[in-house]
Order: sequence, then C-alpha cells, then structure tokens
Amino acid sequence: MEAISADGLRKSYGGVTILDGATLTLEEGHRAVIYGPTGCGKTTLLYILAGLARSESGKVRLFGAPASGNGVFLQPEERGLGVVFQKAVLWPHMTAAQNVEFALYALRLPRSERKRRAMETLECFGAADLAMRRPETLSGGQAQRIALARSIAARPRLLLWDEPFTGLDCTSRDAAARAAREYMERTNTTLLAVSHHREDAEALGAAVVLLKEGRLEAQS
Amino acid sequence: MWRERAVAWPLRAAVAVLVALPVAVFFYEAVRGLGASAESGSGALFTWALLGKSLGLAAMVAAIATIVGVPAGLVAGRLPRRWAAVTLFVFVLPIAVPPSVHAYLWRNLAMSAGLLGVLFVEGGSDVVNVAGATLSLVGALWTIPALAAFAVAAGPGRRFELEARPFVSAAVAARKVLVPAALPVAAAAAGVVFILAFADYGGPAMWQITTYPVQIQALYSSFFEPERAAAAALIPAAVTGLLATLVYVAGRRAFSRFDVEQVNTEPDALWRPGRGLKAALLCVVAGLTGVPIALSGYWMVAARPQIVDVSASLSDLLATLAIATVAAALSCALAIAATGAHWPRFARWRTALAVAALAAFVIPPAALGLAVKEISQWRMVPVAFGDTSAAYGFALAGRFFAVPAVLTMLAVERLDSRYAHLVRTSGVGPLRRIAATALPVMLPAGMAAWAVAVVLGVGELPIGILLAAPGSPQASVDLFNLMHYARRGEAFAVTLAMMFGAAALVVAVLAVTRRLWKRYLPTV
Repeated sequence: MEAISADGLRKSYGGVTILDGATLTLEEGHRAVIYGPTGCGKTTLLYILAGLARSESGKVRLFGAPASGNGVFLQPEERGLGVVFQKAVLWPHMTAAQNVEFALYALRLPRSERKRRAMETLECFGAADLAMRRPETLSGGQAQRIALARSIAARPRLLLWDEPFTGLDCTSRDAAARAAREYMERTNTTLLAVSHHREDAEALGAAVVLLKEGRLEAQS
Repeated sequence: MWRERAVAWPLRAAVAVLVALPVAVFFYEAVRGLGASAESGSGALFTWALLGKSLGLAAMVAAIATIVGVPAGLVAGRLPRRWAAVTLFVFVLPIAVPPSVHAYLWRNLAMSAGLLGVLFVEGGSDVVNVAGATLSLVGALWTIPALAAFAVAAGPGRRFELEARPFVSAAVAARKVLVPAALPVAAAAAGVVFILAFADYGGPAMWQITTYPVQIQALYSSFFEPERAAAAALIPAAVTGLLATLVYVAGRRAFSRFDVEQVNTEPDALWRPGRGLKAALLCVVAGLTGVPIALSGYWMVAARPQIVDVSASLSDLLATLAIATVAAALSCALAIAATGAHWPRFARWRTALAVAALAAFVIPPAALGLAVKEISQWRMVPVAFGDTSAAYGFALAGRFFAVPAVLTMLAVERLDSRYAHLVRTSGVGPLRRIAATALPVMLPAGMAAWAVAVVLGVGELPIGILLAAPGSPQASVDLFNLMHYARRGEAFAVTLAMMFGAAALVVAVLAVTRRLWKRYLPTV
C-alpha cells in the first residue's frame, strides 16, 4: 500500500513559487530522505503532508485515504503522524518524560500506561536518564533525542522528520539513526525525512529524493 | 585588560551617581526619621492596618488585572494581523495616563450615576472607596498582563503549539501548551502590576484611601517631616524589593525558555479564538478602556464652553514628554553602555548594577523624589539643578534605570560569550568589541525599555509633585490640579492628548524594535 501519495502539489509565498506540481509516492514501510538546497521547499512539502499548510492545488492521500485536495482537508492530529520539526522545541513547562507522554494524550490511555510507553520510547533513543530533566537543562542534542522519541511515542504509521539529527554529534547521530532504523523495521513504519546531509539518508538506510525547482526527482 | 577597566570604571561611577547616591541618601534620611519624634497629628509610621490595607489593595488589583488581562491578551494575540495591531495599540492606551486619571474618571462616572451622592462620603464608606480604587487601578494596569500574554500568544507560543498539533487538536494544544507556557510570564506581569499598584499615590488618594504612598506624601506635604516620610517608605521598599526580586527571577526564567525559532504557519493550523471569546475580549476592552476614553471625549465636549485655555496644559505636557524622553534616553544609553562594558566578564559587577537599579526602582517614588530634593540642596550641587527641570529629569532617569538595565541584561545573557572572546582574540578594543557583539543584541531591548520608561515617566506623579521646576508644572501634576479644581474640560483634553500621544510613541518604537529584533518579539 502507498503510505504517501502526493500529486501535483503547488505552493507559493509572496508570488514566489516554492512547489511546482510536486509529485511523490512512498510505499508503506519504506524510508526516503528529501535532499535539496536551502529554500527549495522541503519543509513546505512536509508541512503540506502534515496538514500544517494547504497547497494551492494538488491532492494528498495517506495510506489510501484522502488527506487533502478535492474539498477534503484532514486536520494534523487526524492524520496519525509523528513529526519532528526543524530545530525541535520541547514544551518548557513539562519534563522530558512528560513531553513524550503528551504525544499519547489523544490515545486516552491510563496514566500508568502512558508513563510506561514514554519511558520505553526514551530508552529506545538512550534518553531514559533524561526523563525527569526540564528542557532548559538539556543540551541541543539531548533535546533533539527527546523530540525524536516524542514523534514515535504514539506509534504512528508515518513519520515526517525535518532535519532530525540537528545538534547531534557523529556518534550520537549514528546511534539515534540506528535506533530509529531498528524501530521502523520492527514496526513497519514509513519515514519521510528532510535533510541537508546525504549521510543522514545513509544512516537511516533511506532512499534519496532530490527536490529541485519545486519538483521531486528520485536519486540512486 | 586595563582598557576594559578604563571603560568600565567611569560607567560604574555614573550608575553610582544616578541610582546608588539617591538610594544611599534615602536610607540615611530614613534612619534619621526612625529616631525622630512625630509632630502633632502625623501619627505612627507603621501600623498593621496600614500595611494590610496597602498590601490588600495591591494584591486585589494584581489578581483581578491578571485574571482579566491574561485571557484577553491570549485572545488578542491570535486575532487576524490587522485587529491584533489595533488591540495592541488599545492595550497601551490605559498605561499611558497615571492611575489618578482613571480614578477621576470612575469617580466622576459614579457621581454622574448618583452613586456617590448616596454612598460616597469623603473619608466615609471604605467599601465604596476600596471598590472604586480597585476598579481604577485595574483599569489603569490590566493591560500589563494582557500585553505579556499577547507577546506569548503571538510569539513563542505559536511555536510551542505547532509542536503539539500533530498529536492533538488546536483547542487542546492551546489549553495544554499555550496557556501553561504563558503562566510564568503572567506571574511576572502580575508582580509588576502589584508593584505599580502598591507604589501608586493618585488612585488611592482620589478615593480617600490611606495607603503607604498616601501616608508618605502626607508626612512630607502636610506635616513637612521629610525624614519620617523616608522612614515610612522603608516597609513598602522592603515589600517591593522582595517582589521585584521574584519578578526578576521569574522574568529571567521565562525569557530563557522562550528563546525559540519563530515559525511561519498558516493561521488555521493553530488555535483561533471563536466568536464568544472575541465578544468577551470586546466587552473587557470596552468596559475597562473604551468607557474611560468615550467618557473623556464626551465630558470634554460637554464642558467645552467652560474651557478657558488648554494651551498652557498642553505645553506642560509637551515639556514633560521632552524631559521624560531625554531622561529615558539617558538611562537607556547608560544601561546599554554599562551592561556592554561588563559583558562577558565582570559578571559580579553586572549583578551589582542590576541590584542598584532595582533598589532605586523599589523605593516608593515619593521617597526617591525626597532623596533627590535633598541632594539638590547640597552646597556642592549647582542651584540650577534644583531650580530647573534637571532634578526632576535626574529622578526619573534614576527611578526607571531598572527597566533598561534589566532588559538589556536579559538580552545580552542570551548571547554566546564566545563571540566576545572571538572578537577579543582579533585584537579589537573594548569599545569596538561592544559595538560589534553586544550592542546589536541590546539595542532593541534598550529601545523597548526607552518606550516603557517614557510612558511611566510622563505619568509619574509623586516625583513631579516634589521636583517639578517652579512655574512649569509637570503634566501629571498639572492634570491632578485640573482635576482637583474640577476643570473637567481641560482635564479630559489633556488626558486624551497624553493617552494617544504616549501610546502612538510606544507603538512606533515597538514597530521599529520589532524589525530589529524579530527573533524575540511577537509576530502580529
């Protein structure tokens, strides 16, 4: 089944066309990294897929169901996604564990179950020891690992990650990518990530897609 | 190293003269006042009843202003761009005039409604007086928490909420993320409201309530006991000092949490207030700000035949605005220079500067005015200092030095000190290093602080009463006199001019500041 099927997406800001009929298909369980120069529309594409921005034309289907286009628009929380934004931000009034727990809020699980799953997810990224820390006491790399854990806590079928390894040193990046890859293979989760760095795609074992002049091109 | 010290020491001396000297004189006078015997009728310096009444009034005002202002600010911060800008302007209006004007307006309204004829007897019913004073101070100060909440909702709150949107609906994200994120800022704003209400003289005086500022003023003006007036200011200074410290800590913490990358999101991706909340905002704004403005305009027009000459009052207003502008510019320039010269080294000196600045701010304004008046009478001080507006401007600059000092310090502490070390290793001197690294970060904070200091300075009453130059009364004193002599037409004309003039100035400065400092200021 196609996890993402985006067709003819167009988006412009202030008269400048960012996406010009972008079309993308990604099979369930596959991983792809969109690569391209700054300002080419990578983040905009992710926002459209996440339901945080509306395209001027084109349509998006997620796991076969229409998400936007043809008069349909699913709200972000209805799309069943895990998102990591560029330079991810943790909620300052929650601890690291509470940040991850909040991603499970909509599932209406018992509190003990939420806590258990939050800790399990933190352990996956080697961040269990940071659980009780407040965001302002975390380094950039530590906060990024919490944000990655937060995005998978609710076990979404599709992950959208924007520059997921920002702030991580080489060793931490490799460890985080390995953990993420293992998790995605185990749970058959689909990943679409955006990055400036080709090595991120290698670390995640993902295919590379080039976004150039508003259009997507598959790369070997 | 010696070059850095050569730059830092003159600035330390300037700060000492501007703030430490009046504070030291205040304490000297206060200690003398503690031992002085009371003149007939001036009574005890401290009573629990007076402390309770002063604290109770300020606490009530802070609580109501926060309960009303924070939701209003959150809603306003999420209005469409144009309406948000209009609301921002409206939020600045009430702060631009002293609380005594609000008190005068509400008292007039109560009298027009026949309420005071039945209930209000001067020095009589505490219930009516306290309710009137509370309403007046809430009307004057409620937009401070509203502005704080607005800044969060339109600024970093958007980013926090965006992070939550993939997981929960916009309404839940607003309730669980936006509102809790705004709480530390709301607490700091409540503290600021408490401090301003606790230090206010005009509002309680207009409603015949004796609080500490009224007692201090009476000890000086009615009994001419300046030392006992200074001694009476010790308790309120201690209370305000404690609270100012808490506000500083809370503000610093909130500021560090909000250092997040701004995002451009489409409006409907985040929470938007519904019609009910917009109507509630309109009711609050109309009730607390619209009514006073409309009544000012109506009474001004109604009293037009009795208006003799408003030009003298308007020229006093312009002169006051000029003095407040220069005083605020002086304190901002000094704060920027002193903070820049002590960054990234001399952290202890930076703390000392902040403590000195806050000390001058927490002393009741009447007590600071008395200290500057005492200094103006020293032999070594030129007579012209006391005879012109110099003493008044000096006191204003000292009192509000805390605003730029704290804001520039918060701004510069967000800057990575490695920049300064990098510039230093290239052999650049301290002045050029400050200009290249700290100044661009501090300048917008200094400009915002300048706008705040100008507005507060224009409305400052006790310092104006004590230090305005002979023959040229300060605007809020002028206004107080117009109100006292029931010249309603002139009083309301000056009120409206003060309100809109100061608000326009602030909004213009904020617009420029936003361009310079887009990262930290709200996106409207």
